[in-house]
Amino acid sequence: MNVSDLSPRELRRRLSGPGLFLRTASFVTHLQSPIRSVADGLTLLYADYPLLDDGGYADFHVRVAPPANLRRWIHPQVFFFLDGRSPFKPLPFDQAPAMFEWGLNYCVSNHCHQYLIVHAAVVERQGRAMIFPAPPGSGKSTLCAGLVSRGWRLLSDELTLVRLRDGQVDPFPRPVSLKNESIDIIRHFAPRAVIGPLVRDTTKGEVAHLKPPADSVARAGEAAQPAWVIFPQYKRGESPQLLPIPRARAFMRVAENTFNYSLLGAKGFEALAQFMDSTDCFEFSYGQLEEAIALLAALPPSGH
Amino acid sequence: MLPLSSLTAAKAQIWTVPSGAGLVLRHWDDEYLAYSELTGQTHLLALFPGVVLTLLQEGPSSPAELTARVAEALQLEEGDTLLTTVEQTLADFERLGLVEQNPV
Repeated sequence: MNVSDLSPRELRRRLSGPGLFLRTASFVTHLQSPIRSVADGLTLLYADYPLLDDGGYADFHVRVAPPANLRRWIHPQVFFFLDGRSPFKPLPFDQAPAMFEWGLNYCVSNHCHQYLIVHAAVVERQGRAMIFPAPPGSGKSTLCAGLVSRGWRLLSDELTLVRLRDGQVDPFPRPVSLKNESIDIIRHFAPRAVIGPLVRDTTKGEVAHLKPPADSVARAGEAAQPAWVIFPQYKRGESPQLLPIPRARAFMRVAENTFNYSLLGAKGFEALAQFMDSTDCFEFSYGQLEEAIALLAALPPSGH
Repeated sequence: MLPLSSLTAAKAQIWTVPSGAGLVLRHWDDEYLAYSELTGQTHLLALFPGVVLTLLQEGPSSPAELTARVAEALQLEEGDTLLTTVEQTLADFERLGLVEQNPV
Protein backbone atom coordinates (compact mmCIF):
# COMPACT_ATOMS: atom_id res chain seq x y z
CA MET A 1 0.00 0.00 0.00
CA ASN A 2 1.20 3.51 -0.84
CA VAL A 3 0.40 6.82 0.81
CA SER A 4 -1.85 7.66 -2.15
CA ASP A 5 -4.06 4.68 -1.28
CA LEU A 6 -5.24 6.48 1.84
CA SER A 7 -7.82 9.24 1.63
CA PRO A 8 -6.59 12.55 3.06
CA ARG A 9 -9.02 12.10 5.92
CA GLU A 10 -7.83 8.57 6.72
CA LEU A 11 -4.21 9.70 6.49
CA ARG A 12 -4.89 12.51 8.97
CA ARG A 13 -6.68 10.08 11.29
CA ARG A 14 -3.79 7.65 11.31
CA LEU A 15 -1.16 10.34 11.66
CA SER A 16 -2.86 11.91 14.65
CA GLY A 17 -3.47 8.47 16.19
CA PRO A 18 -1.34 5.34 15.85
CA GLY A 19 0.89 6.84 13.16
CA LEU A 20 2.13 5.71 9.78
CA PHE A 21 5.02 3.39 8.98
CA LEU A 22 6.51 5.21 6.01
CA ARG A 23 9.21 3.53 3.92
CA THR A 24 11.80 5.85 2.38
CA ALA A 25 14.27 3.60 0.54
CA SER A 26 15.83 1.28 3.13
CA PHE A 27 14.54 3.22 6.14
CA VAL A 28 11.18 2.99 7.88
CA THR A 29 9.87 5.93 9.84
CA HIS A 30 7.04 5.61 12.30
CA LEU A 31 5.50 9.07 12.03
CA GLN A 32 2.87 10.62 14.24
CA SER A 33 1.59 14.17 13.91
CA PRO A 34 -1.66 15.93 14.69
CA ILE A 35 -0.70 18.80 12.39
CA ARG A 36 -2.79 19.20 9.27
CA SER A 37 0.00 20.73 7.16
CA VAL A 38 2.22 17.69 7.84
CA ALA A 39 -0.57 15.40 6.64
CA ASP A 40 -1.18 17.57 3.59
CA GLY A 41 2.53 17.53 2.79
CA LEU A 42 2.57 13.73 2.91
CA THR A 43 -0.50 13.52 0.68
CA LEU A 44 1.08 15.78 -1.92
CA LEU A 45 4.79 14.91 -1.82
CA TYR A 46 4.87 11.33 -0.55
CA ALA A 47 1.95 9.93 -2.56
CA ASP A 48 4.12 7.24 -4.19
CA TYR A 49 5.88 6.05 -1.02
CA PRO A 50 5.07 2.64 0.42
CA LEU A 51 3.43 2.24 3.79
CA LEU A 52 4.14 -0.78 5.94
CA ASP A 53 1.79 -2.56 8.29
CA ASP A 54 1.08 -0.75 11.53
CA GLY A 55 3.11 -2.00 14.43
CA GLY A 56 6.00 -3.22 12.32
CA TYR A 57 9.66 -2.41 12.72
CA ALA A 58 10.76 1.21 12.35
CA ASP A 59 14.24 2.74 12.21
CA PHE A 60 12.96 6.04 13.57
CA HIS A 61 10.01 6.84 15.79
CA VAL A 62 9.16 10.44 14.97
CA ARG A 63 6.52 12.83 16.20
CA VAL A 64 6.00 16.33 14.83
CA ALA A 65 3.75 18.15 17.25
CA PRO A 66 3.01 21.44 18.97
CA PRO A 67 4.07 21.90 22.60
CA ALA A 68 1.64 21.23 25.41
CA ASN A 69 2.10 24.68 26.94
CA LEU A 70 0.83 28.13 25.95
CA ARG A 71 3.07 28.15 22.86
CA ARG A 72 0.43 25.95 21.31
CA TRP A 73 -1.71 29.08 21.09
CA ILE A 74 0.50 32.16 21.41
CA HIS A 75 3.15 32.46 18.67
CA PRO A 76 2.56 28.77 18.07
CA GLN A 77 5.50 26.45 17.67
CA VAL A 78 6.25 22.95 16.52
CA PHE A 79 8.64 20.34 17.92
CA PHE A 80 10.37 17.42 16.25
CA PHE A 81 10.64 14.40 18.52
CA LEU A 82 12.84 11.38 17.83
CA ASP A 83 12.24 8.45 20.17
CA GLY A 84 10.44 10.88 22.51
CA ARG A 85 13.27 13.41 22.65
CA SER A 86 13.56 16.70 20.82
CA PRO A 87 17.02 17.18 19.29
CA PHE A 88 16.22 20.67 17.99
CA LYS A 89 14.79 23.92 19.25
CA PRO A 90 11.17 24.38 18.22
CA LEU A 91 10.28 26.23 15.02
CA PRO A 92 7.32 28.46 14.15
CA PHE A 93 4.24 26.30 13.63
CA ASP A 94 3.98 27.19 9.92
CA GLN A 95 7.28 25.40 9.32
CA ALA A 96 6.02 22.00 10.48
CA PRO A 97 6.25 20.24 7.06
CA ALA A 98 9.78 21.54 6.51
CA MET A 99 10.72 20.49 10.03
CA PHE A 100 9.67 16.94 9.23
CA GLU A 101 11.99 16.97 6.19
CA TRP A 102 14.93 18.43 8.10
CA GLY A 103 14.28 16.12 11.03
CA LEU A 104 14.30 13.03 8.84
CA ASN A 105 17.62 14.18 7.37
CA TYR A 106 18.91 14.49 10.92
CA CYS A 107 17.75 10.95 11.73
CA VAL A 108 19.69 9.46 8.85
CA SER A 109 22.80 11.65 8.95
CA ASN A 110 23.29 11.13 12.68
CA HIS A 111 22.39 7.48 13.06
CA CYS A 112 22.93 5.48 9.87
CA HIS A 113 26.64 4.81 10.10
CA GLN A 114 26.35 1.66 8.00
CA TYR A 115 26.94 4.27 5.26
CA LEU A 116 29.51 6.93 4.64
CA ILE A 117 27.14 9.89 4.40
CA VAL A 118 28.09 12.77 2.14
CA HIS A 119 26.30 16.11 2.20
CA ALA A 120 25.61 15.96 -1.51
CA ALA A 121 22.88 15.72 -4.08
CA VAL A 122 23.02 12.65 -6.32
CA VAL A 123 21.21 11.73 -9.51
CA GLU A 124 21.60 8.82 -11.91
CA ARG A 125 21.30 8.03 -15.59
CA GLN A 126 22.06 4.69 -17.27
CA GLY A 127 23.40 3.30 -14.01
CA ARG A 128 25.93 6.11 -13.51
CA ALA A 129 25.63 8.52 -10.63
CA MET A 130 26.47 12.22 -10.70
CA ILE A 131 27.25 13.57 -7.25
CA PHE A 132 27.20 17.23 -6.17
CA PRO A 133 28.98 17.61 -2.81
CA ALA A 134 28.57 21.17 -1.65
CA PRO A 135 27.56 23.40 1.23
CA PRO A 136 24.18 25.17 1.21
CA GLY A 137 23.89 28.01 -1.28
CA SER A 138 26.01 26.45 -4.01
CA GLY A 139 23.03 25.49 -6.13
CA LYS A 140 23.24 21.72 -5.77
CA SER A 141 19.53 21.27 -5.12
CA THR A 142 18.67 23.47 -8.09
CA LEU A 143 20.89 21.40 -10.38
CA CYS A 144 19.49 18.23 -8.87
CA ALA A 145 15.90 19.37 -9.46
CA GLY A 146 16.77 20.47 -12.98
CA LEU A 147 18.35 17.15 -13.91
CA VAL A 148 15.51 15.18 -12.34
CA SER A 149 13.05 17.27 -14.34
CA ARG A 150 14.93 16.20 -17.49
CA GLY A 151 14.68 12.48 -16.80
CA TRP A 152 17.56 11.73 -14.44
CA ARG A 153 16.71 9.49 -11.50
CA LEU A 154 16.69 11.16 -8.09
CA LEU A 155 18.76 9.36 -5.48
CA SER A 156 18.88 12.26 -3.02
CA ASP A 157 19.13 16.03 -3.00
CA GLU A 158 20.83 16.15 0.38
CA LEU A 159 22.35 12.88 1.62
CA THR A 160 24.50 10.66 -0.57
CA LEU A 161 24.67 7.23 1.06
CA VAL A 162 27.94 5.49 0.17
CA ARG A 163 28.01 1.76 0.91
CA LEU A 164 30.99 0.75 3.01
CA ARG A 165 31.47 -2.58 1.27
CA ASP A 166 31.86 -1.35 -2.31
CA GLY A 167 31.58 2.45 -2.52
CA GLN A 168 28.35 2.31 -4.51
CA VAL A 169 25.52 4.74 -3.77
CA ASP A 170 22.23 3.59 -2.27
CA PRO A 171 19.27 5.84 -3.06
CA PHE A 172 17.39 7.86 -0.48
CA PRO A 173 14.91 9.74 -2.68
CA ARG A 174 12.90 12.37 -0.87
CA PRO A 175 11.28 15.68 -1.80
CA VAL A 176 13.89 18.11 -3.15
CA SER A 177 14.34 21.15 -0.96
CA LEU A 178 14.22 24.31 -3.08
CA LYS A 179 15.14 27.64 -1.57
CA ASN A 180 14.48 31.27 -2.41
CA GLU A 181 14.98 32.11 -6.11
CA SER A 182 15.52 28.48 -7.06
CA ILE A 183 11.81 27.86 -6.39
CA ASP A 184 10.75 30.12 -9.27
CA ILE A 185 13.65 28.91 -11.43
CA ILE A 186 12.33 25.34 -11.20
CA ARG A 187 8.71 26.48 -11.66
CA HIS A 188 9.75 28.00 -14.99
CA PHE A 189 12.18 25.23 -15.92
CA ALA A 190 9.69 22.45 -15.23
CA PRO A 191 6.13 23.88 -15.30
CA ARG A 192 4.60 20.43 -14.67
CA ALA A 193 6.66 19.80 -11.55
CA VAL A 194 4.66 19.36 -8.35
CA ILE A 195 5.95 21.76 -5.71
CA GLY A 196 4.59 21.94 -2.18
CA PRO A 197 3.49 25.07 -0.35
CA LEU A 198 5.94 27.88 0.30
CA VAL A 199 7.32 27.99 3.83
CA ARG A 200 8.48 31.50 4.69
CA ASP A 201 10.96 32.97 7.16
CA THR A 202 12.95 29.81 7.80
CA THR A 203 16.63 30.02 8.69
CA LYS A 204 17.24 29.20 5.01
CA GLY A 205 14.81 31.81 3.72
CA GLU A 206 11.81 30.69 1.69
CA VAL A 207 11.59 26.93 1.21
CA ALA A 208 9.38 24.70 -0.92
CA HIS A 209 9.73 21.00 -1.70
CA LEU A 210 9.61 19.36 -5.12
CA LYS A 211 7.79 16.04 -5.33
CA PRO A 212 10.16 13.25 -6.38
CA PRO A 213 9.28 11.36 -9.58
CA ALA A 214 7.33 8.14 -8.97
CA ASP A 215 9.97 6.20 -10.89
CA SER A 216 12.70 7.38 -8.51
CA VAL A 217 10.64 6.27 -5.53
CA ALA A 218 9.84 2.90 -7.12
CA ARG A 219 13.54 2.27 -7.89
CA ALA A 220 14.75 3.17 -4.40
CA GLY A 221 16.30 -0.29 -4.10
CA GLU A 222 18.65 0.15 -7.09
CA ALA A 223 22.16 1.27 -6.22
CA ALA A 224 24.23 3.34 -8.64
CA GLN A 225 27.88 3.41 -9.63
CA PRO A 226 29.58 6.78 -8.94
CA ALA A 227 30.73 8.27 -12.24
CA TRP A 228 31.08 12.03 -11.85
CA VAL A 229 31.82 14.21 -8.84
CA ILE A 230 30.83 17.82 -9.50
CA PHE A 231 31.56 20.71 -7.14
CA PRO A 232 29.00 23.32 -8.19
CA GLN A 233 29.09 27.03 -7.70
CA TYR A 234 26.33 29.33 -8.82
CA LYS A 235 27.68 32.52 -10.45
CA ARG A 236 24.98 34.83 -11.66
CA GLY A 237 25.16 35.58 -15.36
CA GLU A 238 28.14 33.35 -16.12
CA SER A 239 28.32 30.68 -18.82
CA PRO A 240 28.70 27.15 -17.50
CA GLN A 241 32.27 25.94 -17.13
CA LEU A 242 33.69 22.55 -16.17
CA LEU A 243 37.24 22.36 -14.86
CA PRO A 244 38.73 18.89 -14.25
CA ILE A 245 40.37 18.37 -10.85
CA PRO A 246 42.58 15.49 -9.65
CA ARG A 247 40.76 12.73 -7.84
CA ALA A 248 42.93 12.81 -4.72
CA ARG A 249 42.08 16.49 -4.22
CA ALA A 250 38.44 15.78 -4.91
CA PHE A 251 38.61 12.98 -2.31
CA MET A 252 39.69 15.48 0.35
CA ARG A 253 36.88 17.86 -0.58
CA VAL A 254 34.27 15.12 -0.53
CA ALA A 255 35.58 14.01 2.86
CA GLU A 256 35.09 17.58 4.13
CA ASN A 257 31.44 17.32 3.10
CA THR A 258 30.71 14.09 4.98
CA PHE A 259 28.86 13.67 8.25
CA ASN A 260 30.73 10.64 9.57
CA TYR A 261 34.07 10.16 7.77
CA SER A 262 36.09 10.62 10.96
CA LEU A 263 33.76 8.39 12.92
CA LEU A 264 34.14 5.51 10.44
CA GLY A 265 37.95 5.59 10.43
CA ALA A 266 39.67 3.25 7.96
CA LYS A 267 36.30 1.90 6.75
CA GLY A 268 35.30 5.41 5.73
CA PHE A 269 38.62 5.95 3.93
CA GLU A 270 38.29 2.68 2.01
CA ALA A 271 34.65 3.32 1.11
CA LEU A 272 35.41 6.82 -0.15
CA ALA A 273 38.44 5.54 -2.07
CA GLN A 274 36.26 2.94 -3.80
CA PHE A 275 33.65 5.60 -4.43
CA MET A 276 36.26 7.87 -6.07
CA ASP A 277 37.89 5.05 -8.07
CA SER A 278 35.37 5.20 -10.89
CA THR A 279 34.80 8.94 -11.03
CA ASP A 280 35.84 11.95 -13.06
CA CYS A 281 35.87 15.10 -10.95
CA PHE A 282 35.14 18.70 -11.88
CA GLU A 283 34.71 22.20 -10.57
CA PHE A 284 31.54 23.52 -12.12
CA SER A 285 30.38 27.12 -12.25
CA TYR A 286 27.11 28.11 -13.83
CA GLY A 287 24.69 30.99 -14.04
CA GLN A 288 21.82 29.62 -16.05
CA LEU A 289 20.10 26.30 -15.42
CA GLU A 290 19.24 25.26 -18.98
CA GLU A 291 22.85 25.70 -20.15
CA ALA A 292 24.16 23.97 -17.05
CA ILE A 293 21.94 20.93 -17.53
CA ALA A 294 22.91 20.66 -21.20
CA LEU A 295 26.62 20.69 -20.37
CA LEU A 296 26.32 18.13 -17.56
CA ALA A 297 24.12 15.82 -19.62
CA ALA A 298 26.77 15.82 -22.37
CA LEU A 299 29.55 14.61 -20.07
CA PRO A 300 30.97 11.33 -21.38
CA PRO A 301 30.98 8.32 -19.07
CA SER A 302 33.98 8.13 -16.79
CA GLY A 303 36.92 6.38 -18.41
CA HIS A 304 37.89 4.58 -15.21
CA MET B 1 75.82 22.69 12.38
CA LEU B 2 75.72 19.16 13.79
CA PRO B 3 79.04 17.59 14.78
CA LEU B 4 80.16 14.83 12.46
CA SER B 5 79.43 12.09 14.96
CA SER B 6 75.80 13.22 15.33
CA LEU B 7 75.34 13.39 11.60
CA THR B 8 76.73 9.89 11.21
CA ALA B 9 74.45 8.66 13.99
CA ALA B 10 71.40 10.28 12.40
CA LYS B 11 72.08 8.60 9.09
CA ALA B 12 72.41 5.25 10.82
CA GLN B 13 68.80 5.38 11.93
CA ILE B 14 66.33 2.90 10.54
CA TRP B 15 62.98 4.38 9.61
CA THR B 16 59.79 2.41 9.67
CA VAL B 17 56.03 2.66 9.48
CA PRO B 18 54.94 1.61 12.99
CA SER B 19 53.16 -1.72 12.95
CA GLY B 20 50.18 -0.25 14.80
CA ALA B 21 49.85 2.81 12.59
CA GLY B 22 47.22 1.25 10.37
CA LEU B 23 48.58 3.17 7.42
CA VAL B 24 46.52 2.89 4.24
CA LEU B 25 47.75 4.41 0.97
CA ARG B 26 45.93 5.08 -2.28
CA HIS B 27 47.07 6.93 -5.33
CA TRP B 28 45.53 8.29 -8.49
CA ASP B 29 47.71 9.77 -11.19
CA ASP B 30 50.51 11.70 -9.45
CA GLU B 31 48.90 12.25 -6.08
CA TYR B 32 48.64 10.04 -3.01
CA LEU B 33 46.36 9.79 -0.02
CA ALA B 34 47.63 8.43 3.27
CA TYR B 35 45.23 7.46 6.05
CA SER B 36 46.58 6.70 9.50
CA GLU B 37 44.35 4.70 11.79
CA LEU B 38 46.61 5.75 14.67
CA THR B 39 45.97 9.48 14.24
CA GLY B 40 42.68 9.32 12.32
CA GLN B 41 44.14 11.80 9.86
CA THR B 42 44.06 11.71 6.06
CA HIS B 43 46.92 13.38 4.18
CA LEU B 44 47.12 14.48 0.56
CA LEU B 45 50.64 13.86 -0.73
CA ALA B 46 52.46 14.86 -3.88
CA LEU B 47 54.23 12.23 -5.94
CA PHE B 48 57.63 12.38 -4.21
CA PRO B 49 56.48 12.00 -0.58
CA GLY B 50 53.88 9.50 -1.77
CA VAL B 51 56.58 7.28 -3.25
CA VAL B 52 58.81 7.66 -0.16
CA LEU B 53 55.99 6.52 2.10
CA THR B 54 54.97 3.69 -0.21
CA LEU B 55 58.52 2.34 -0.29
CA LEU B 56 58.92 2.67 3.45
CA GLN B 57 55.67 0.83 4.00
CA GLU B 58 57.24 -2.15 2.19
CA GLY B 59 59.78 -2.48 5.00
CA PRO B 60 62.13 -0.64 7.39
CA SER B 61 64.91 1.25 5.70
CA SER B 62 67.82 3.57 6.36
CA PRO B 63 67.72 6.97 4.67
CA ALA B 64 70.52 5.90 2.32
CA GLU B 65 68.75 2.68 1.31
CA LEU B 66 65.49 4.51 0.89
CA THR B 67 67.15 7.20 -1.22
CA ALA B 68 68.50 4.56 -3.58
CA ARG B 69 65.05 3.01 -3.98
CA VAL B 70 63.39 6.39 -4.50
CA ALA B 71 65.98 7.27 -7.13
CA GLU B 72 65.24 4.04 -8.95
CA ALA B 73 61.47 4.39 -8.70
CA LEU B 74 61.39 8.00 -9.89
CA GLN B 75 64.38 7.87 -12.23
CA LEU B 76 66.25 10.50 -10.21
CA GLU B 77 69.96 10.95 -9.75
CA GLU B 78 71.24 9.62 -6.43
CA GLY B 79 73.30 11.96 -4.32
CA ASP B 80 73.44 14.15 -1.24
CA THR B 81 70.69 16.45 -2.49
CA LEU B 82 68.25 13.61 -2.90
CA LEU B 83 69.32 12.11 0.44
CA THR B 84 68.64 15.41 2.18
CA THR B 85 65.21 15.67 0.55
CA VAL B 86 64.34 12.13 1.65
CA GLU B 87 65.48 12.90 5.20
CA GLN B 88 63.38 16.07 5.28
CA THR B 89 60.40 14.12 4.00
CA LEU B 90 60.89 11.48 6.70
CA ALA B 91 61.13 14.20 9.34
CA ASP B 92 57.84 15.68 8.08
CA PHE B 93 56.20 12.24 8.24
CA GLU B 94 57.52 11.75 11.76
CA ARG B 95 55.88 15.01 12.86
CA LEU B 96 52.62 13.74 11.35
CA GLY B 97 52.92 10.45 13.25
CA LEU B 98 53.17 8.40 10.07
CA VAL B 99 56.70 7.00 10.55
CA GLU B 100 59.22 6.54 13.35
CA GLN B 101 62.92 5.98 13.57
CA ASN B 102 64.68 3.27 15.51
CA PRO B 103 68.36 3.02 16.33
CA VAL B 104 70.27 0.36 14.41
